[in-house]
Parts: sequence; C-alpha cells; structure tokens
Amino acid sequence: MNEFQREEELLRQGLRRREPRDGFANRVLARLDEPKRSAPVAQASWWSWIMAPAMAAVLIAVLGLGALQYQRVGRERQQRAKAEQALGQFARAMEITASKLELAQTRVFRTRGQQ
Amino acid sequence: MADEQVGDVTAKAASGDRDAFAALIRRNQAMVYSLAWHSLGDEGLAEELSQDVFLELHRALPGLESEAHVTNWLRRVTMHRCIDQARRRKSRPQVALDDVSEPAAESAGNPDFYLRSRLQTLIGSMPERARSVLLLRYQEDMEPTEIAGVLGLPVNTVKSQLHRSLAMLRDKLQRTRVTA
Repeated sequence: MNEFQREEELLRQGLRRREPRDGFANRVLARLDEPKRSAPVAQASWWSWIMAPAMAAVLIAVLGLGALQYQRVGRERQQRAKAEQALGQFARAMEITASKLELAQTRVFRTRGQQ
Repeated sequence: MADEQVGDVTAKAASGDRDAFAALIRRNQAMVYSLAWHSLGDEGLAEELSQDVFLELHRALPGLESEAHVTNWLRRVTMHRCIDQARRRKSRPQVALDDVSEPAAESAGNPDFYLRSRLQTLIGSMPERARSVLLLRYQEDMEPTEIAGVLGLPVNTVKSQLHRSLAMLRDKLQRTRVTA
C-alpha cells in the first residue's frame, strides 16, 4: 500500500458511517403523526369563530363609550373656556365702568368746587 | 430476490405502509445521519436535519421507483440541506484550515481516536462544497462522476476540488502523524 492509498484509507476510516441514537426511525414516524395530534388546535380555532364576534362587540362598545366620553370632556372644556371668556369680558367691562364712574365723580367734585 | 424485496419495500412505503417506510429509514439512516453529522459537526443538528430529510422522503416517495433511486435522492437532498444549513449557521466557527492548531500531545495514547478527531476537525473547517465532495468520496465511496451528479457540479470541478482538498488535508495530516 503506497502513501496515497494509506491516506485514502485513513479518510475512509475517519469518515465512516455512524448510526444515530437508538429509536431514530420511531422518532421520524412520530413526526409523521404530528398533524393528526394538532386536532385540538383546530377545535380551538372553531371556538375562536364564536369568540371573535363577541370580542369584536366588546371592543366596539369600549371604543364607543370612549368616544362618547371624549366628546363629553370636549364639550365641558368648551363650556369652561366660554365661561372664562365671559368672566374676562365682565371683568373688563367692570374696569371700564369703574374708570368712567371715577371720571364722572372727579368732574362732579370739580364742578362743585367752582360753584 | 433481494432486489425484488427492496423494490417491494419502496413501493409499499410509497403506498403508505408505515412498516415499509420504517424499514427504508433503518436501511438509510446511517448514511443520511453520517453525512449530516460530518457536515455540521453537531449531533442535535444532524439528528434534526436527518429527520427532516426522511419526512421529505415520505412526501417524495410516490415519485421514486427503486431503492437505488431512493438512495440517490437521499444523498442529494441531504447534501444540499447540509450545505444550506452550514451557510446559514453563522454561529459555526469559521476557522481557516491553516489556522487549526495541532492537538495536545496526551492524545498520542489513543492514535485512532486522535486521528479521527483531528480529521473531523480539519474537514469541519473546510468550505461547504469541498467538505461535501470529500464526504461523498470517502464516506460514500462515490466516483467523481457520481459526486458531480449529486452536487450538480461539472465533473472537472469535482476532480479539482477533490485534488485541492486532499492536498490541504495531506499537509495537515502528515504533520499530525509526525507529532503522534
């Protein structure tokens, strides 16, 4: 046997076949059965067809209530803003009135003084 | 007679006979598992990939007529899956062949184990295609023309790949033998 043949023999020995762990065929066959075992998943999806509309109804109700609440809060905010604006206008009117009254009073006192 | 039984097993397995399919698995499991194990260097991955190959075989059986056809199909699909898997596996340490260090001297007590383990390390560090060519040549004892058919490569490419891979291995193995 020459050097090259010895190397080839060494490679054949090093790369010789080895068996997988015991029960390999059974593990493959078990995986073949996996789709059949997934039946409970199909049943769960059947329930989900009933649950889905109920969940959707709950979701719509929650969203609707949320929208109503949002509108109510918005209206209250608008009313409060209008009230604050009216209060401001009232205060401004009072200031103007007060200044006019003060002016009128000053003129009255001045007229009396001249008499 | 034996060929008749083998052909019978293939046909029975194709028609849904589980026992016949189990027999086909047992007859080919060492070949498929070894190709995967030597390619990937990981028992778990090799087992998973081998199972996947046999599940794929189960689907492909109606199109396969003989044991030789089944064997050829298994080699081709296993090698292509191994090449894909090795390319996807970024976690696999990519060590250049020349960078593989020499093993420690204490392994000299068991030269067979030493050489096999050294060889597996070296082959594991080779590019996917070079590794596939070596595996089919020396694990499966296939000729370059057959390897070319399995890997879908020109025969000359297979021959030159084999030549280069052997030269690299020869260099490393000679050094190993000297130290052992």
